[in-house]
Amino acid sequence: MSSSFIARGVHVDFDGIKALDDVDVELREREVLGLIGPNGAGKTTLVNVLSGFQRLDEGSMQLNGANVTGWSPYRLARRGLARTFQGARLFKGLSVFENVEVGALGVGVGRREAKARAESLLSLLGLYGQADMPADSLAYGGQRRLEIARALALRPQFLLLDEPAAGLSELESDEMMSAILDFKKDSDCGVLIIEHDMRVIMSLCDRVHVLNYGKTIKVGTPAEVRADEGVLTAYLGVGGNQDA
Amino acid sequence: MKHSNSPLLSWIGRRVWPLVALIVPLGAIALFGGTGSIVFQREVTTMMMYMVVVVGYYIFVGNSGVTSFGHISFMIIGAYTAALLTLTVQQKIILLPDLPSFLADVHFGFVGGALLGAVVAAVFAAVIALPINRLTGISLSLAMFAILLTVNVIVSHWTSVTRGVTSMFGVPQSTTLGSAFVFASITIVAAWMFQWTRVGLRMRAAREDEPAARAVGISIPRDRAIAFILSGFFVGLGGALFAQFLGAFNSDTFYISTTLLTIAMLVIGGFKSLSGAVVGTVFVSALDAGLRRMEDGFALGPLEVGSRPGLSAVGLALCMLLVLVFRSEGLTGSREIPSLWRLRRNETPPADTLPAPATDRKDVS
Ligand SMILES: Nc1ncnc2c1ncn2[C@@H]1O[C@H](COP(=O)(O)OP(=O)(O)OP(=O)(O)O)[C@@H](O)[C@H]1O
Ligand SMILES: [Mg+2]
Repeated sequence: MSSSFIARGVHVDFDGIKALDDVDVELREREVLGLIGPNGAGKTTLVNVLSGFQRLDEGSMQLNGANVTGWSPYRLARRGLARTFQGARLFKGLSVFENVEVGALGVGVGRREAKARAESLLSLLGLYGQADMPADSLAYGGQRRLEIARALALRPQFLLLDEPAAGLSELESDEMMSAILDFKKDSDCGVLIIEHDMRVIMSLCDRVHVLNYGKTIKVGTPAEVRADEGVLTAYLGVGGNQDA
Repeated sequence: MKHSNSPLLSWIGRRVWPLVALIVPLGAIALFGGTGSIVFQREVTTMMMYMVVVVGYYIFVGNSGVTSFGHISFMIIGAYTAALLTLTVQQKIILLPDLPSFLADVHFGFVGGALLGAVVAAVFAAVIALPINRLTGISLSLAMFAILLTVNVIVSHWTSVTRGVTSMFGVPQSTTLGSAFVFASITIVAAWMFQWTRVGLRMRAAREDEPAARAVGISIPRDRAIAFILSGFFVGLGGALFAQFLGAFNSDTFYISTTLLTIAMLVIGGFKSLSGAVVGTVFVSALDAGLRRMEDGFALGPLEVGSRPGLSAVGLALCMLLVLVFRSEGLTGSREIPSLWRLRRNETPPADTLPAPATDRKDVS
């Protein structure tokens, strides 16, 4: 059976603000799903729900057929779910190497294997030379890549990335995307990526999910989404700082 | 920083050297202490026993980043257990006529008393570990304080076993400067090894960033519970050593002032590093001993200063205040002793991966 991660009928309310309003989302093996929408659309909230950080007011979640509604983040992580945060969250006092090592140790991997994963992921993301430095001594671009390396150390079935390229230069952003694709080549991992840069979304994603004011307004291929009137008005209507 | 290609050398440089750099100076202090007056010997021995308590305390606080205001309860349990086990059967008949027979009829030597004191404290820690570690931050700190108050009340009133507020006395005074140093060293080695285990590394990760730690699958309460039990063991060991050093003590000997003193030691040294715990214990012990001597009055050149009771308490509080204000990470900056050399990792990544990282930071949109 191919793996899948499905959320149905997700509602999240913040004091009357419907951050998510009846959202269905499905992640599939090997697929890259883009999650886009104007600022405040509910993208981060959806990632928080999927990773167990945000309680759902209504709705259900299924991971490979098993009901995982209401599970805590650490249990979901051990079931194969990894995420990054909007604005990197690193283990600042630990070394670059330890940050990645802990990613593997967290899900119960042995010491030797954890170190091996750290070695290979640090080279994949171009951080090998800085392995022994404290994590917070990395430049911003390095910190973003380190967070991805740490998430990949879990060997996730599903990977949720919240604006991994935000604040990076075009070159750095391209490097990051090629690293993600590199990793995906020999993995069945399904990826959800939040990204404002349409160039990235169009080149990377198999499907795109568009949110606006907590509601799904379109799910389809990048080409379909680009051609959709509703999506265009949502973006133009809000007029935020969209790169599209 | 030198680099090395040998994993063994690297391991020695990173894992063995910092330990040597802590324990050898401590050994020198012990040797020096051994040549001094009786009073000085006792002061150095007391410092070594506090080392056991503070490093044990550090195992939980340093790795979790959460303060506990009740760790001295483990010390109380260790102390009373050691006393009950090392008093002779005849002494117990006189001192504690109503003692349950499984305690009345046993007798252990110094090491047995010390280790069993530690074990009983660890068992107590294990009993409360899970509920306590469901709490975080200040709730945990205060819950531990409540535990300390409770243990103190029990010890004060359980007269048949503890003699209550009257003194427990006649405990063989077997803790020597040498044995205290050996136990201090063992505690330091254990704390150092623990922080490099999987549990230790995961805990320090969670200390740095809780959400990120949970996102990589770390069960924070479970890991903390393990450190809590280990911590209870060593703080209990410290209590057992104290009991066998003092010979006589009562329910107030290990209580609020001991709590404050040990917290001061950890905070002043730097609570997030083992080096901080060790340096803080030495520094505060020296300061405390010095101030205590001055309490009886002293001469400052031609100036005669009369008796100043309370000088040591005020001095300690002032010192802690200064550290908190000007050096919140403690004297060591909460850093460990630096490695001697590093393992040289490949500076240029393998050819088929990414080019060297760009370092420019652009503002987040
Ligand atoms: N913890 C919270 N408490 C109250 N309101 C919240 C909370 N988190 C998010 N919100 C609100 O929910 C809505 C969705 O926020 P969310 O962060 O999910 O948006 P987003 O799509 O990720 O936006 P951005 O592109 O700016 O990251 C916003 O109106 C936000 O103000
Ligand atoms: Mg967001």
